[in-house]
Amino acid sequence: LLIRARGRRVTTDWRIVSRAATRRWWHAVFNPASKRAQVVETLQTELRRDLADHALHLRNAGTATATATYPSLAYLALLNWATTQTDDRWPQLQFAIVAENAHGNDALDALSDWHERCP
Amino acid sequence: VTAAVDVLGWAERAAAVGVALSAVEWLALGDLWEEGGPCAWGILRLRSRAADSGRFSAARARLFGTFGTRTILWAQLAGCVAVLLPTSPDWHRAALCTTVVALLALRRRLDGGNDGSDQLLALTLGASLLARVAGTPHAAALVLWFLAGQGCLAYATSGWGKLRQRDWRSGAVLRDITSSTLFGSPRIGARLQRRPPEAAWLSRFVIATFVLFPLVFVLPRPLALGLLGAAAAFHIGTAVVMGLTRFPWAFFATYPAVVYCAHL
Repeated sequence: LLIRARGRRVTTDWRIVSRAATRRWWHAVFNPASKRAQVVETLQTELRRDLADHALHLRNAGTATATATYPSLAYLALLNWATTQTDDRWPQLQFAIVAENAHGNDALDALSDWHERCP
Repeated sequence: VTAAVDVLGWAERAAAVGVALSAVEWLALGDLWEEGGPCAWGILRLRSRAADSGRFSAARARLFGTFGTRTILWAQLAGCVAVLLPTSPDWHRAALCTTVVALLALRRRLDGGNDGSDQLLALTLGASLLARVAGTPHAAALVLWFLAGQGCLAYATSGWGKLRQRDWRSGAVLRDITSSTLFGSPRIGARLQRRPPEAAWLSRFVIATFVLFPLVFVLPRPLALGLLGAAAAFHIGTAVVMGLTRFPWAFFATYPAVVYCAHL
């Protein structure tokens, strides 16, 4: 603040300066946002990979017999959170849930739970 | 060799601060992993058949539920605090063991939010626990050599990875990172965007520090300490600018081992 004043008379509100400095240093010591970002990135990456798998299944097997890969189900429930719902891949995901043969109920429950809780 | 146990104590303390920080961060991010969150065990267990419907799935569900996960995090935090306190060797070993077990459990439960710093912290404390279980100065010295080598390997691989990418060498990656909302700083980001050569030279300095880091073992003492100081400054810089709070502790935990092994 003092350097930027360049000779002009300024009144420094030290409370603001100290608050800003505290915030900056606190950010350097404790920053859960970086962990949250890491989680989001991991989930998005896996979701993207799963979507690619589903697309491949759909192309290869046709809509009647396609089956979803098992790990993808965990991430279907993240849809509202990690990606936008306006995405054109949404119908493919819906189909993937229905087509899941082994643990379809668990996946649907997880997804519907998440949807109900989602704002 | 007898000093090795004391030096290992410093490595453990630095690592314990980093792990404690990680536990507190997870506790602050309860909305992610508690019931109803996107990383709730009810959802993440669906990742594998073994976790979802295997023989131990019920026990795992109890352990990794909201209450179980919170208990593990508090145990990890308590273990770290005990490692930092001056206690008897037995208590110290027990505290270290608690921390490492909690770390291993959380790697299964909350692996999505862990990064390289968490891996390095787990390696440091895991190796230290082995030395404490062995209980001899020679074991402590051996673990210090391992940690020093691990630190050098981490810097060198990171440096070579950056060196091979043109965008790192040109400073473009640094400009982009510092301009991002999450890991950036508006002031520094704008400055580096205005002055690309500064970003390029800063990037090259970081790459050179990382690639040359293993030379701490052969360089004259002032140069080796300079290299160590440059790496430390990088971590403090990334903590202040990018908010990467656990990396300094993870890498600082290897410095006592480097100083010991390189006779600095």
